[in-house]
Amino acid sequence: MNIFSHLSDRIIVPLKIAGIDISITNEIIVMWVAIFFIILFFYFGSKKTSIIPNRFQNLVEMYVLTLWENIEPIVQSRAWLPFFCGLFSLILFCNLLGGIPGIVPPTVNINFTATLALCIFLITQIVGIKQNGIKKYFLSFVPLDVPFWILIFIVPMEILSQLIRPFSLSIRLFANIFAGHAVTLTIIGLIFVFKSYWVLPGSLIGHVFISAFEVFVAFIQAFIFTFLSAFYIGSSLNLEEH
Amino acid sequence: MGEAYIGAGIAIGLAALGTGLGVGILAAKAMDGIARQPEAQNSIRTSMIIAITFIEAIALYALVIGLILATK
Repeated sequence: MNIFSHLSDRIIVPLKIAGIDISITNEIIVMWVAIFFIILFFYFGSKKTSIIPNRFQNLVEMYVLTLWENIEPIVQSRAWLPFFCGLFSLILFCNLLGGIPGIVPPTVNINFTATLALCIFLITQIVGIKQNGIKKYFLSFVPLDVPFWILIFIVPMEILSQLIRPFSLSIRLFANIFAGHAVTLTIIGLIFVFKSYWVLPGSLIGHVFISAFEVFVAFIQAFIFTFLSAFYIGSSLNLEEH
Repeated sequence: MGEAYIGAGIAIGLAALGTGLGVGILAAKAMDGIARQPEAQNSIRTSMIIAITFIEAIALYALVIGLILATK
């Protein structure tokens, strides 16, 4: 049996509306559980706020402020805090739930990450046009102080770099989480490959180390995704004068 | 069909080579920076980790290509 079948999605509730398959898979349910945990986390973190915070409120404050410290210099507007905090929390909690054995996080499915990246792409364009006006936004692809014959190369490059962003954004998150789970499965699979109990301690210790590394990767990748989307959105919000 | 497996192996091997070189150079420069200015250790470490994840992602692109080739 193919080892990666453990990472594929299984349909739990088949659902079809107007010819579109929107079946509820196990990954969707994991995403709902993650959203539930996010709501719990922020609800109990901000229920009884006081000047002298208790431990849990301290944790939530640290979580939000550390994220915001890194993103604020880029987007320069406090209105974006809930969006980026929600994005970061969704990816982080999904990744972390994947650490539980037998649970497939939605981030190992490229459809999930691609949807997020596509949303970021659309938000980048819409916000850029809304903030700067359609003319100024598209003129920002054209640098002013270069000769005409270089423009023929530069302008397609600028447009191409905009279009490539969602691909790199989605594949980066997907591949990192998928690779981590594939490695853990492979290490556990060694027991079945060698058909011997003597491989078990090595596999178990390896699994523990890889899992610990996966927790680190879950944080880093969630942060990288949020940071890059903030960078893209921020660069279209605050256009530099060429 | 056999060629696809060879291709997948070569792809991930070359990507691992490049990524290893990249991470090696990056870590060496970061160590240089920390040795020169130990008080900047924290910020150097953070930006090094972020840069490493960017470099690692390139190897993971090759992994995706390899998986596509191998499970075709």
